[in-house]
Amino acid sequence: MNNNALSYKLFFLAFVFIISLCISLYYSSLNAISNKITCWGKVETITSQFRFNALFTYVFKGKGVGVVVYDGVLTSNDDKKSRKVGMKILFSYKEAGNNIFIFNSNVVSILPGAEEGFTTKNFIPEFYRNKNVTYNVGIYKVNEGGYLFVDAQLPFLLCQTKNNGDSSN
Amino acid sequence: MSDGSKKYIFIIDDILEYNPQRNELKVLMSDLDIITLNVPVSRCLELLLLNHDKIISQSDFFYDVWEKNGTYITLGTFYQNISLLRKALNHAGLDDIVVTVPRKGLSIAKKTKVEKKISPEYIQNTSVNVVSKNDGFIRRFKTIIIYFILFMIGITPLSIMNYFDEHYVPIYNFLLERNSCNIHSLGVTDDSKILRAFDDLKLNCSKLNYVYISAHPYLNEVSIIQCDRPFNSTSKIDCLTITKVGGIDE
Repeated sequence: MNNNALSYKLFFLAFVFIISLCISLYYSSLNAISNKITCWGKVETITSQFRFNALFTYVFKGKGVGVVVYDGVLTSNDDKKSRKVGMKILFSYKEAGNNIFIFNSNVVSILPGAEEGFTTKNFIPEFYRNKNVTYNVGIYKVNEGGYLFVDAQLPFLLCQTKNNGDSSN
Repeated sequence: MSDGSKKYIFIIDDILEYNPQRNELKVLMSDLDIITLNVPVSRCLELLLLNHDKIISQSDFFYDVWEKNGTYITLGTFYQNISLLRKALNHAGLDDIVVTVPRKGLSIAKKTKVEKKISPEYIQNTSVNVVSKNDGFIRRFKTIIIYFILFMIGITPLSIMNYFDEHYVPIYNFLLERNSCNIHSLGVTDDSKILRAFDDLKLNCSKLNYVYISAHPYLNEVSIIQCDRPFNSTSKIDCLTITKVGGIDE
């Protein structure tokens, strides 16, 4: 075999290898947990003063952008007064293994007429209240379409996609 | 004249061997006596031998030997080539085997014995081709196998990543059953802290009876995930995530 033929073969072998690697990585990235998923989860946060019940919706649109919306009711433990709380947070994100780094660019209330009064500062992370905040979240798949969101070693949301399992039950 | 004739050699009167592939006349009794013919002369002889029981017209010679190959010659050139052929045959010891039939053409003399045999070169080439075809097949097969192996190596990361994608669930262990609640705890957390939090919250497990509790190792916080089915259920599960801040360690 002359040198040209050998070089050609080696080049072609390397080409096949690289192409298969690219295919593999591409499909792996498609299967990544945060790539184009929309999931919902019910959350209840209890402190000594308040109880907060909300529905969180996470939308990872792919290409590193997404939005999270939460909509709930904050109730005082003392006088049982309650008010609605709802926010929409636009963010960009970057994956690093099971963790994603989320950076919010805009936080707007989805309930413009909501009365002020209670502060959510003590139990809702700053990411959900103020813009330009980076948030590190661990995301773990728990079942087909179910993702556990973990913040500072503590799960805070079981987020489920529409198509997880049989909806007939 | 077909190219298929090249696979034959002709034995003329058991004296002379004519090899059209090499354009050679060889005297059989002497290995050293070889006459090389020029190509048109050789083609004329070949045409005569392939049709040794027929008369070949002048126009057939013109067409088969020259015109078919894009060459046009004069009558003089034709006779000159026939003359050269006769001389060569004479030199090899065969006189007057190329006969002129007036107004018809040329033929091989009727008394001439013409025997056609498969050329040794043809046999050799054929066997070489068979061997090289087998070789080629084996080589191609090996190449395909190598490409396949490389492809499999290449897609290995996909399988590994998919494996981890499916298997990175935090491990909750079943702790105990209390008040119809199946309580699970995350391996690293303190069970007494978990049970304290569970008792404190007075959870209602009538609907969501699978409870997954984890406590923060340093902060005064616990997380409780209450579901109607186990995490690993293939059916749709209904869950509520409760975070209790403070009031656990006191």
